[in-house]
Amino acid sequence: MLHEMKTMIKITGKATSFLLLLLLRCPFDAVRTVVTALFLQYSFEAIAQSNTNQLFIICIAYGIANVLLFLYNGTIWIRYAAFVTRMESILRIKLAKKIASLSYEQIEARPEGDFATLLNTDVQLPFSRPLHLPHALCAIVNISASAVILWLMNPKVLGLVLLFAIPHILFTQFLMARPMADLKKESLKANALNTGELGTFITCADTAAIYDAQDYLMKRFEDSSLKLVKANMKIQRRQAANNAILPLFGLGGYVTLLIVCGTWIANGSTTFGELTAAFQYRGGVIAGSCMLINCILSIRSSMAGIKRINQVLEESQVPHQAQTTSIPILKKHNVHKIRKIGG
Amino acid sequence: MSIHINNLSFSYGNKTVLKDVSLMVADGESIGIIGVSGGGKSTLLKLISGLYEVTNGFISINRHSSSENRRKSVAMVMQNAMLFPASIRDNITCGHAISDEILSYACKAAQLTDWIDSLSSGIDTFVGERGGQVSGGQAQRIAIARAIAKDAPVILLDEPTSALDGETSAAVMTALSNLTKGKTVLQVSHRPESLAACSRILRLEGGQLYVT
Repeated sequence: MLHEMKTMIKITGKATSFLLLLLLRCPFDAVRTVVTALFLQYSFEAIAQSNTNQLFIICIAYGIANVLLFLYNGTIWIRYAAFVTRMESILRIKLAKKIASLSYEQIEARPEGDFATLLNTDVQLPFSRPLHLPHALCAIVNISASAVILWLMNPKVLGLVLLFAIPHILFTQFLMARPMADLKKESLKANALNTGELGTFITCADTAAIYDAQDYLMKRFEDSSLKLVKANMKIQRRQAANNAILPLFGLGGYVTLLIVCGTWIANGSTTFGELTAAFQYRGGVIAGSCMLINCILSIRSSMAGIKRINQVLEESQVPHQAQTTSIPILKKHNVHKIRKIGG
Repeated sequence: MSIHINNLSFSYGNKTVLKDVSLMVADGESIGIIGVSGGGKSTLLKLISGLYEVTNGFISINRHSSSENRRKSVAMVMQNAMLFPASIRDNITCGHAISDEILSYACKAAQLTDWIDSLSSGIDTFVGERGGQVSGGQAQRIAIARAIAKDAPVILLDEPTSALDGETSAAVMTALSNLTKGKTVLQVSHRPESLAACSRILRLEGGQLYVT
């Protein structure tokens, strides 16, 4: 998977800029989790001490921190979006150049829709649709930071959080993410076929009209549309199952943590402020895990497109007879001999 | 079936390609129209076949003037045969329920039988995306077999052999001769020799028809 992505980025020739933007985007979620957790902890402690001045300062500081964070985040996202658009354009041009350099046999061997899907859909998968790579990195940083802080605060709370988060990640990884690349590949193939059938409608419009073949072509188009729907439906079902599982693990963990921490507050072993901060860090772990799961699913499915692009870009040109004899065609005495190939 | 064209004019935007064209083709007659490339020959066939709507003038085939009825009465073979990315069978039947007997006759008349018999999948062989797995001559004969299977009374031929070499052209000519037997034929070409079999030859020049 990583090799495919590496090949793809290498082809665009913008690996350094891509990595730099990813690294700049990484800390945002983790910093926001820490800032919010600290705000909740200190504000609830100030409330418990009835210290309104301190509460006011905390609120102002929280407001300023959020403005700065969102300014930073917005700047990075704008730069990333522009960068992605350029990357897609580079990739599209490279693909078009490669397709143009392929031999006639290689072009003929593929359905017309295959090229359309490559240039329109597949090129969007690696970088921008959805923005899975930066999100995945943000999620990893957020999970790690939140888990470390939570462990420092109270290892038992971290244990409770992980008790629900780990099965969820494993469940998604084995039952959702793994088949996703194949499902997406199937979907892209069906999409290419469907686009190809639509192309036949246009290129063979005159033949279809004269020989009353519109129904036949429509049936073919409908069949390919059905294949596309079925392929997409499989993906949707997997994603729906994943979304249905999400609150089950999330809510289970939340209720358990509330009951356990409630008893700790009653015992006086923790404060309400610490509990809210712990919940915030738990949120960091859970939200990060959910984001990471979705990113893994998305990356897995995008890999199908990336593989298809790499396959075309790395395809070596097959020399064929017409090409090797293209120069002698100009010589008059060879005309008859060359033409006989087509008969 | 007879073809009746009266005061037919046609333009692509501001460019007039046909001006007051009138023509009567009797039942079973074979007419050849010669003219330079881009002179409106193919446009005339597209209008007769009902692919283009007649906006100025009149065309009827056996007294039926609607484009839908005209389409039903004609079979057309064009310069570059357009094949569906499907089997030879589907390219000939166009998805219609055609008996094996007719299919076999169409293949034989179109000089396809020997070639089809040599294929491992026979008539169910895939012709490739955009007809890439068959040669120009084979594609043209599949198109002729398609026209034979339709058994339309009017045959329109748009330079069907111009893209082929001599040897391939001979097989296609035999197939065409089987296709046009006993039919009303209108063939256009820029080469006079390809219209040798026509009973009457007209010249399309400056958008108008002249007797040669």
